[in-house]
Amino acid sequence: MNSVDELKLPARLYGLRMGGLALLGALLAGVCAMALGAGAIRIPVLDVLAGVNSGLESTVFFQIRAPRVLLAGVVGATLAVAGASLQGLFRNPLADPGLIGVSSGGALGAVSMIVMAPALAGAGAAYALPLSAIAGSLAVTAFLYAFASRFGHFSIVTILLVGIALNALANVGIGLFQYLSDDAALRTLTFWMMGSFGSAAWTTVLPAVALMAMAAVPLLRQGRELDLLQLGEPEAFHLGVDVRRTKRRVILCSAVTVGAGVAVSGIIAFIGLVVPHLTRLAIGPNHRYLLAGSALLGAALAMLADTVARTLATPAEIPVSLITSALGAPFFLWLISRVRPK
Amino acid sequence: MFRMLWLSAALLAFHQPAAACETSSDSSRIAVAGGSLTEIIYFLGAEARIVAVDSTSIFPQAASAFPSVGYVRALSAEGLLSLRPTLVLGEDDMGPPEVLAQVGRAGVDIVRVPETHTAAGILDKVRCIAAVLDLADHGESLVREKLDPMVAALESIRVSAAKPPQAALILQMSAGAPTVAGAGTSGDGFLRLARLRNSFAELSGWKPVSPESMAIAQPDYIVITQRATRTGDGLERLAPSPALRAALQGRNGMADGLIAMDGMAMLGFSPRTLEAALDLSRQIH
Amino acid sequence: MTLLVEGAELSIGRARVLSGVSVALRPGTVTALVGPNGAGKTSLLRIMSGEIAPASGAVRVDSRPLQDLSPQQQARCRSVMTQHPRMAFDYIVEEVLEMAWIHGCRERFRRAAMTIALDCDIRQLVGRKFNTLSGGERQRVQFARALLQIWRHREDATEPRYLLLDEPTASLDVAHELLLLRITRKISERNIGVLLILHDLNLAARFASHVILLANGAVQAAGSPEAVFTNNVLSQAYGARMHVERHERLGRLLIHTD
Repeated sequence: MNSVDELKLPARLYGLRMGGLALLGALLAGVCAMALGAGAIRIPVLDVLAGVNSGLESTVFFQIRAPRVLLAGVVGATLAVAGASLQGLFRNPLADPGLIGVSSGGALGAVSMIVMAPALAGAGAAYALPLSAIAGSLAVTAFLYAFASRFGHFSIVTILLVGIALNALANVGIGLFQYLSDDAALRTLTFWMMGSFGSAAWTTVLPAVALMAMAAVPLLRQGRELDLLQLGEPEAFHLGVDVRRTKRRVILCSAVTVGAGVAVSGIIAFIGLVVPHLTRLAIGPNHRYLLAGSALLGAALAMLADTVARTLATPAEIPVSLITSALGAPFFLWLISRVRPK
Repeated sequence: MFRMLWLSAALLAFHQPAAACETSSDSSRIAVAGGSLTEIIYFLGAEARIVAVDSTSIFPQAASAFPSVGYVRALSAEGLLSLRPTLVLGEDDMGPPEVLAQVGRAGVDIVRVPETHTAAGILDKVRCIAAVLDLADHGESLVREKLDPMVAALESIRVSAAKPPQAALILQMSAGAPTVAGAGTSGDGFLRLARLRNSFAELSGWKPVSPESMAIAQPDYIVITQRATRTGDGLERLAPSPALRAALQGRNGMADGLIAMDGMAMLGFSPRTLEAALDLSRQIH
Repeated sequence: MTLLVEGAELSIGRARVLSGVSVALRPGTVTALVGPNGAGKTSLLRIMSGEIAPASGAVRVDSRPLQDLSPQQQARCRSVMTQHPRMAFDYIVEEVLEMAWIHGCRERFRRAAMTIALDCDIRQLVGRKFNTLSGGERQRVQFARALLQIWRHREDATEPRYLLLDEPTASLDVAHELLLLRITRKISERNIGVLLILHDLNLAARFASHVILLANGAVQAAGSPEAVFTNNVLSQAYGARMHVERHERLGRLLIHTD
């Protein structure tokens, strides 16, 4: 018997995954450097970093471009991690923060703040908007959880169906606010819902980033539990997973991280759905690697999309959701067509 | 002397946005966010100072040759700064606020021009911009020479007190439901300028309305933006719209009560708005 | 040292599934759970695995109430093989096996997985995607996974453990059916209590040391195959005339219907 093959196989696979992660990390570093270097204003980045240049370029680099790149990266990473976690939890590659109403809940929270207290949203936007968006996301997920638990079982189908209903309900709320709002609020709302990293300043970025990271770290640590859940919920329990607690953690952490992201950058389409797919195609479905890989690729993709959004039509900019969809969708199709025939 | 230095240092450090309508310390390079403001700068003959405009600055046509900083509510901080403006002059609703705060922190004057939807509001707007650009006297003489006569002409229109003519103003047609101007909108202000009663004054803001409510409101006239008519092939294409048909029931032919006008001219509240209101009132009264 | 169910009652909706069921699974035995369709076999297995709690009655493992053990503690002392659905994502077989590895140390996993893969005849499947396997191949992989979960290093090899298998041979060909049942008998010697839900009474008679006959949610008979498999008991439980005879040359019971 040639048992040597068998001993080698796991090692080779492990190497492939680590190699894949390293590659994604390198990609992220490259995109990050490009994002920091590109923009409407030509900035001698090395001079600025060395402190030689301290004029307008330095201000733009440190006060405008750097927080924006950081925000894009963190929002992209957390959206991708939340997407991968929810896809794992629901054992459905089509699950998405948008699908179970988390994004719409956040949007509804923020929109209600914009429409009902425009003065507050203007002056204290840095605090009021994220809080109301997170409250919206949490309200949706808490209701989802309570509703599903009431019926004793906590099945995935129940969550998905209730999520669809909540999504519709949140959209009704957004539509209603849109109808009630006056002209100016309506325009804020529309542009805010198209997503942008343009409002990034350290004062708004740092609290949001801290919050998103705090909620994303527990998700990153659920890799093994999510893997075991792929065998089925009873099977995961048989293997020692506290299924209820895992579900609760994944849902709550996804809600907080997505809500905080929605609040500072609007709804960024597509990343939560596609990045986990692409990562899976690159390094396989194993969540211990998938979550980290999704974070790296999500950050890279969001930074890239934002760079395109702010450089393509300078001095104006394009809504970033337009770019994430335009960049992601064809790439995704191409990847599927490459991988399927095997 | 020391006090002056200290003061300017403090100004540089904090650089509070200038209060509206005060002369800007440096208005040599202006980024304009708002079509009516661009029009007014042209009206004042100060267009040489413009370095960028927003996407609503389409009149006069020459204005669209400037670099565009995008939509007035979705400005880009770095994009604005790349044009090295000394002053960002914007309408009430320019934004996002965080972007303007960043531009302000980079040492650029930010001025929001207040807007009220009356004839006096237009004159104030012109005076305000003239003051910011340090052209107050020139502005005042232009107001007296060109704008005051139009305002007087509008005020001299005789309107029956018992039954003033009423109109609805349509911003856009979507899926057969027109979006009409309610109270508090620029459209409502424009109808007042032309001495018309707004059929939808009980609504607030821009609202989509149903064919039935159009029929109930029974406006004598429907004023519609040219952009809205362009979604079809001209006015006759609007005839099949049930909403308009309902409103114009019993009238002699479509064109009679339906008046299409340039949306920016009507709703921008620039000097052009006075002309448009005069034009409209001449067609009606 | 027993996995014990005492007086378990269970209803699903209005239907009474189990009434007053008491069974014992002892390490070192292979116990076959047999009975007609709808007898409550799978429900009993789910109660024994801790997946559902009975409405009344108790489940004890080694004289401790099952619900006092954390999921992790339960996982260390018993593994379960269910009748299995597909997985949503394309895991390869090696990853599926690794999911059952709750014992740390990768080096040991490789060695244990290799031994068990050879035993279960899935060595050639290890690099393939789980979802591309046939039903029988998947069942063999799941069985190997269940074995890996209760694997012990040599010094702990005598710890009592339990292996609960729900129709493990449903999709297997004859040769692999025999292979799997032989393995269960062999590993039961390492202080493991094996519970098998089986439909083939002949296989139950041949490989089980104990038999529990369940019908209408109640235990009809329990004990050695010879004690349980009698004409009367089986005919009554299955509602069909059944004959049991001893085949002297093969040295085992043969059960057949009219």
